[in-house]
Amino acid sequence: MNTMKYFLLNNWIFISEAARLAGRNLVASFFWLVSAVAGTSFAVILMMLQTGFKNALEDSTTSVIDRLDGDLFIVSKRMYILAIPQTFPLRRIEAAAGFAGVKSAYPLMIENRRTSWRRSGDGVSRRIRVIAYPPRSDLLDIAEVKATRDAWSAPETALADSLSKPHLVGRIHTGDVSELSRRRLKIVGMFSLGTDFHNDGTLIMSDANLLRYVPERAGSSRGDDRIDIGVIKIQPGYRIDQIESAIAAILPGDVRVLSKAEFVAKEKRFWKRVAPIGIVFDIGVGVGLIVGMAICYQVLFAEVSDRLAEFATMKAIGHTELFLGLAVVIQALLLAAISFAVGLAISAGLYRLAHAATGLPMDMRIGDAREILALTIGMCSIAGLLAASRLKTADPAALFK
Amino acid sequence: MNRVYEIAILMVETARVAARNALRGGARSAIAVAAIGFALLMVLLQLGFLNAVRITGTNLYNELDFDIMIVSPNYDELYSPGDFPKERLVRAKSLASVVAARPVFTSFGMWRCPPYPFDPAEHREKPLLKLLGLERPPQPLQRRELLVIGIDLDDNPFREPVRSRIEAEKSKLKLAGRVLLNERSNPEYGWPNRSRFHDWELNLTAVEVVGGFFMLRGFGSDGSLICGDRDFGAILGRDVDDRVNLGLVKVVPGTVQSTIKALQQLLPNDVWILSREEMIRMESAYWVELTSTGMIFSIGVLVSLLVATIVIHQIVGADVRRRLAEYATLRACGHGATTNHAIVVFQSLIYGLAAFVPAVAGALGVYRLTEDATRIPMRLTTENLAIALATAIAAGLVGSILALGKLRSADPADLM
Repeated sequence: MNTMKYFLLNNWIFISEAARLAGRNLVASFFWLVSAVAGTSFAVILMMLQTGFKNALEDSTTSVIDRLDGDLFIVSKRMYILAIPQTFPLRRIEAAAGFAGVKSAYPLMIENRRTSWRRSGDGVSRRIRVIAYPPRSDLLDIAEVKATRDAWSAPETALADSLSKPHLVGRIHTGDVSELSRRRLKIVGMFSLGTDFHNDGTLIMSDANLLRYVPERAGSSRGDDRIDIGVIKIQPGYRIDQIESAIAAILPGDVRVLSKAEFVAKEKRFWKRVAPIGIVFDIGVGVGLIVGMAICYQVLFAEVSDRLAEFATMKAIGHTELFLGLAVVIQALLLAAISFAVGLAISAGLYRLAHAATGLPMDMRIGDAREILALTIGMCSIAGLLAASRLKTADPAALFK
Repeated sequence: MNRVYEIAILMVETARVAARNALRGGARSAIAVAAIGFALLMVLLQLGFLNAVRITGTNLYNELDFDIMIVSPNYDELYSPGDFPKERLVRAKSLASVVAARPVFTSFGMWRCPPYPFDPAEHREKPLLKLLGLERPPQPLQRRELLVIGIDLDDNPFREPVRSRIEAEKSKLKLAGRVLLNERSNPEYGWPNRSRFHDWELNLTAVEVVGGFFMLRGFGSDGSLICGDRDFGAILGRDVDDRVNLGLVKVVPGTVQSTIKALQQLLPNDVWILSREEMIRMESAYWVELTSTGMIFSIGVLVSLLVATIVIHQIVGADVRRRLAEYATLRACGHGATTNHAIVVFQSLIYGLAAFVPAVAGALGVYRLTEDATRIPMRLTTENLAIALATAIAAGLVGSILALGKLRSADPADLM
């Protein structure tokens, strides 16, 4: 570190002079700057979009689990992903509720096969996901949902996801009255959760309500009602893993108990194993990097070629090839910085567009942005080094040929 | 006549100069071709992904034999088709132009999949997939959902080659609990181990796999099986004599439109009647335009086309700049500006075509790798090849036309 500092200090004038030259060359031709930034930032945008899609794919599969306010979860033994419904009798969670240390155990139902929402307007019915649970349990940690709890406790009412895809389930607003599975339903509020690759829209209603719309879920007694997840909250001061194994020991083999981390990991593991589509987007980032390097090299090469006479003149008045090469590389780094900023700004807009169009979670993560910044700097500096090799042909003698 | 001859000579001459420029360019030409090739490879890759989305919408319908399809008005897509009374098919048969009206039943069912590796002693590693972190992890016995297709075994609704696979096993399929498994299903469903695994179950009913058939996989479901309608009703708890999911109508050749009109008058409006083309177009449009998967890959195609155009433009532009002195010399020798323009256009075409060949070869390799790793069906269609070729040519032309501005600055006086 110290050596680095001394090097920078000792060569400060040398470096700052090269940087000044690089800066002046960068802005000398407005047209060149625009075309260079356009090309390089396109590569940045390509990498950003591919990364964003990859994150959307991974995040959307667990967006419901992430928002569940619970410590332990009881699910059917056969459940392999949340999107494919696998139910078990409500009785199982009643058995868990009696444990010392268990604060509460509530049922959660997710129905996405038997529920279809009649679009207001054209009257076409489209499949929609319905998440149902006792309103007072506040199982979903979404502020709008908790705040309107009393409104959606009433029969034949529900909340609608404002991020549902309008071209599939239609535009839904508070106050809309339409039909869910051919039965009247009133929308009493909105929330935002988002879609995933299985579900195009979501409603939230009380568990009692869902049994009205999907009576097939009701058992001969309440304990036989078919539910998807049992959400357990633990009292403070108890160890979650101990209670987890205690509950698992007494529950029959048709269900299993998972902590939140295990639940999320299980979901991600399935997608990674069965459909590792993430690699598709990694390939996209890789190709974007190579294409970006090619673009960057071309523009810098053209720049050095255009200024060959100027560089030769500078050589003639005593500047070294190292100095000129440093100027080219600094120019490449400046180009990387500007292109990254432009690419980031445009990508942020594209992320928002894609989020609005698909309802998928498209969030710019700091770690990803940093990674792409590093890739951009890397690709531009390699391109700069390659272009700087052209300086060798800058021959002062050739100036006067 | 003389004029045409002159132009032809000029064309050949300029093409020769362009070819020499490209061939003698050495490393720089190689870099240009490689960069354009990469851009085209990227376009082909994104087009391949989008095509896989389209396959999702057509994989079943391409195998089914029908001219007209009758579905419920609640039809969303193949995996959520709704149902309608079977009686509508009986009535459809009463039309003189209708040759056959066959029911198809579809549903999701839970399939008991064998463990992986089936026999740990025989497990072989795939080094390349392992290196990429894509090796298939071990998996204990599990139940997973697949698409179940129920048909009337005496009135086979499939086209060749699936049709004869069903006919060959027909007598076995007529016994209760016998099914055909799609050979192209995700290997997790157990096709590779069909001769060794015997404890198959569909929705808690023991079944036997008596054979296979071939159908591409899609994003809707990565496994499928065919069974008789009796089994379908018994195992999935559906009344197959009352309601059907898809009604496949075959008509006398040339009477599709008239039969559609007749059916619309004959049948009540609790069904939709669509021609084969309409049905396939609607299903593809659903997957490509309305699903998130389709939108994401459409955006991918769009961005890759833009990036490819920019890359090709940059490369052609850089080449013109580098040879500016040569172009100025040509002008000094008395050649018109047209000659120089033609050389640039020819040269970008040569670059584009030279890059196209390795790009296609590379795409085939990357397709193969992607299909192995992600199990997405990657097919190089003629349409997509044409799009990539058109991109190479169009981007080359646009790039060279934009570079022509630079040519104007090729001033012989500057040479000195």
